[in-house]
Order: sequence, then structure tokens, then C-alpha cells
Amino acid sequence: MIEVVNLGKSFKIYKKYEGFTGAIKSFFSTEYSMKHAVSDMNFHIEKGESVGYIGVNGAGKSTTIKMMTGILVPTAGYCKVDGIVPYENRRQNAKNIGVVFGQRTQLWWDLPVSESLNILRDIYDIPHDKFKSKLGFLKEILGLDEFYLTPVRSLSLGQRMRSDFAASLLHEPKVLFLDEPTIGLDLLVKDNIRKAITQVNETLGTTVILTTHDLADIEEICRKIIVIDDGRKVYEGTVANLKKEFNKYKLVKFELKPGKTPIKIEGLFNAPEEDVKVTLENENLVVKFKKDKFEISNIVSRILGEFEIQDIAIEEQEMEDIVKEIYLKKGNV
Amino acid sequence: MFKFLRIYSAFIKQQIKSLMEYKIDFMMGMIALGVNQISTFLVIFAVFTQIKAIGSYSFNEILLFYGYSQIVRGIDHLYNDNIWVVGWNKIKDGSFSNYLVRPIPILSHIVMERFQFDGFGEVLIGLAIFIYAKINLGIAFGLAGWMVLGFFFFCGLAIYFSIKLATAAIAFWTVSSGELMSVIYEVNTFTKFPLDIYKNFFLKNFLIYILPFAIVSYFPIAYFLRDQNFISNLLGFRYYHRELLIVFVGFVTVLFYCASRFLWRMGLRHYNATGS
Repeated sequence: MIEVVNLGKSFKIYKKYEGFTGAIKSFFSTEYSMKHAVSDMNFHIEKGESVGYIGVNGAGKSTTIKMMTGILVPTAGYCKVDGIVPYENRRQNAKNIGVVFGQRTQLWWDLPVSESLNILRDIYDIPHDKFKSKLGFLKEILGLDEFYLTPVRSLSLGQRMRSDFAASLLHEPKVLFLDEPTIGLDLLVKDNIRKAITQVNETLGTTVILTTHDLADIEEICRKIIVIDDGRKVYEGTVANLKKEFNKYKLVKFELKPGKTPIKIEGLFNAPEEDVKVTLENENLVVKFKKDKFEISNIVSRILGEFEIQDIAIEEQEMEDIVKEIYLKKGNV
Repeated sequence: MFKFLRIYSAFIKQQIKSLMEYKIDFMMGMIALGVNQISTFLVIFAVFTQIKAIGSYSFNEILLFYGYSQIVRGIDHLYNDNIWVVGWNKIKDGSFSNYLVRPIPILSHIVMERFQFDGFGEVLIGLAIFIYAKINLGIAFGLAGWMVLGFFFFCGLAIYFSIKLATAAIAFWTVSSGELMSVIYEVNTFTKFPLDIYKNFFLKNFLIYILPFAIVSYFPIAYFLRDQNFISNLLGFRYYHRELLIVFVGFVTVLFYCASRFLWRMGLRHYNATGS
């Protein structure tokens, strides 16, 4: 469905100087450097897949999405969405895709949600009966009724996002691009939107590509994940694989008895810090250890023999930590 | 085209609705424009109570130029106002991206998103002045004349469109080009009066060849008020039929329109889509 081949986008960044005299200097300066927002990007997405596209701020996520939606023209390589080159066949591509930008609405500020959607019906040439049934479906899964006649400018962020999401799905796009769709939303709306995305992906077979900083989004929606950093791909695989591959650590939390805070926690285990690490968090002793180096029973008995413990909790390493690790290691994965 | 009109009318309906909501705002806008128009008119009137003619132009001739120029300007104001927002803000804040993910031509999308009712003020007053002057001058255009005027009118609108488009397109490189747009747009003030009263060689040629506002109302009205010698002098040729002016106006319009569309296309490819 989506084919990205050696895709790259570079911007000219003119050299800037600080302060007021600096501003004047920058004005006359013609020095510039190239910023490679995306370089040498390659991936393939099949029809019906749900893919999380993640990376730190400025990693090039949005730039890639903008090239796939036909907003930006790449400076190297190419991409195809359903066989169409988006930036060359912009209008044809627009019929096939739905786009939601979490940071910016695509609806008209002064119009009520109802009228915005009616205008989109005309823009996308959606037949009336089809529109009606689609709208019924979207109203139901997103709960649009309570603010359906409210002007977009008066909506709360959560209501606006739900409306934007509905607007992107009216014309039954083959591919749905979501650029930080849950940013700044409360837990209930987040949950609502995640469920709606999953439903659209599963029942309609819509291909979903999602950028986010909230990894819970990925865990609930996506089966595949692409991690990028500094404009380059550093990981591509299924979420399950990622966990298997990177989830080398386990965490054991020991809740200490009150007033029994230990003074010395170093040197409990005769092993380098990367194999086992003991830290003190509030009243808890946290032991992070490599699964293949230690048995959990050894860890527990060693700690129980040393300290007075009230409670024990065993945790798998969270996805967030895994991704953090990938970001920190950058290209060396 | 049918689809375009349908969406356009949907937008207009919505705007009328919100005009009803902001009555005072709308009334203030109309009053401000009315005062502006009437005061300019009174200035011309005051000048002509003192003197009989400016250059070779009588009072009613001046009014004909003035009225016609306001009609063109007003129609442009009515339908083609959203491009200002593109030049000032939409590229700067990245909301221009919305146009790019919709399956309709960008320029029609921009046009139909906003209908500027303020333009009616200019059109109505322009029309009134034009008719008044035409009756007083006692000139008849004839069917062919009206058709020529219609053609000139269309070219005038195209020139306005091209100039606004080209200046807005600069924002693709400079992020915002509102100031530039205003400065260049305001040059249209010169079109209110016949160009030769300024008696400035540079200005005249500037407005014919560089920023062709002369095509908007000076040439069209001069075509009907002056003879062949005057017209061929104007273009710097001699002994030509005045119909040459029609060809000239059409030619320059097409040239300008194509050039501005080209600049716009280049800009689109250069668009950086700020924001995340």
C-alpha cells in the first residue's frame, strides 16, 4: 500500500546570529547549511496494517508524513501511496487518504461541525446515502452528537480531535495518516480515539500510520513499529518482536519496611552494572537485571537475606524504556 | 465547475449565517467602506467645482474612469479575498497544508472559502458613478462595445488575480508576504484616475509593462473615450487601429496570468510546511 524508497528531504537553513546586530548580520548573510530532516528512508507498508511511526521531537516523523500526504516534495528518492506518487498526483492521492494533524484542525473555525462535514461531503463527492450511513457510524463511535451543531472554535480539544477524526474518515480513505492524534487529550478521549482507530483498522481494513509520543497508543493500536532518529530509520518490526528483542531486563521492586532505609546498596551482587543494577526509589529498592544472567529466585533471596521487606512486585520492562534505549543507542541497533 | 459552485454556495450560505450573528461587525464594515467611497467621490467633486477639467479630461470622464475602476476592484474584493490570508498567515502557520490534502484544485479551494461581502460597497458605488457619468457623457457603446468592455472587465479581474497570486506566492520563500501584497495592491489607487494626468513617463510605463494596473481601467475606458491617435500613442506605436488595444490587453493579461501561475507552482514545490 505504501512504498518508501530512499526518501529524503533537506532544507536550507540560513545561518543566524544572536541579538539585534546579529539579526542585521543574518539578514545580509547568505551562508547556509543543509538540514537533512529525512535521509535515505526505506520501508514498506501492506494494506490493512497499523504502523506506529515514532521518534524524538525533530526526528523527521512529520516530514515523512507530509511527503506521503503530498504536502511536501522530497529532495531525494520517492514514495508511493496505493501506486500513486502523492506530490505529483496530489488530488488523486487526496481521495485515497485521510489525514489528522493533532496540532492543527482541518475544519473551518467558524463553521459548526455539522456544516464542516457537509462541505467535506461535497469536496469529496460522497453520495448522500453513503454519507448518511458513514456519519451515523462515526457519530456513534466518536460520540459527536453532543457538540454536532457547535462551531469548531468553541469546541474543547477533545471534541475538536474527535470531529477532526470523523472528518478524515468520511470518504472512506484507504490510508489514514495520524500525526500525534492523542496529543494533549485526557484519558477518556484518548481511549475513545484509540478504540475508534482500532475499529476502523479492523472492520474497514483501513491502513493506519500513526506518529505519537505516547507509546500506549502504539501498544493499543499498532502491530508494527518503525523507529526513526535524526531522519534515519533505526528500527522496523512488529511490536511483539521489539519486546522480545529488547526486553532483556526484568524489574523487581521491594517495598522496604518503614524506617528501614538501607545505607549501602552497592556491591550486593558480584556483577557489572549493566547486568544488574540496584537503585533506591522513594521507599522502594528496585533491582533491574538481565534475564539471561540471573534467576529471579536468586535476586529475591539475596535481597530478602539483606533487608527487611514488606512487599515484592515483579515487572516486565516497559515499552517506554525499550524505546528510550533505542533512541539512546541511535543507529547501533 | 458545477461542483465548485455548489461548494462555493455552501460556504456563502454559512457566511451569511455568521454575518447574522455578528450584525454590528458587518454594519461597521459596510459603513466604513461607504464613508471611504463617498469621501473620495466628494474630493473629486470638490476639485471639479474649482476647475473645469484635469488634463484633457472633463469631470464626467474622470468619473467614468473612477466608477469603472471601483467596479472591477469591488468584484475582485468580493470573490478573491482569501488569498490575503494565505499571504499573511496560512503559509506562516502551516494551515496551508489543509489545502494540499483535499482532492480539489488549491486555487478554487482558496477562492471559495471566503466571500467578502464588503466588496458590495465598492461595486454599488462604482456602478452608480459609472452609470451617472455615462448618461451625462451621452456615449453609447453598442453591442460590440459592450462585448469589448466585457472582455476588458474579465482581463481586469485576471490582472488583479495574478498580481495578488504572485505576491502571495512570495510567502512560500519568505514565510509571510502580507506587507508586500498590500504595498503592491495599493498601487491600484492609480487606476482610479486616467493615467496621463500624472504626466510621469516612468509611472506610466511602470503601470503598463511592469505592474499592469493600466490594463484594469485606464485602457478600457480610454478605448471608449479617445480616438485612434491617442491609443496608438499610448502604446508607443503609430498609425494603428485602436482595436490593437484589445489584442494588447489580452496579450499582457495572458502573459501575467501565466507568469503568476508559474511562480505559484514553483512556490508550492518550495513549500516547507512549518509546524509539526
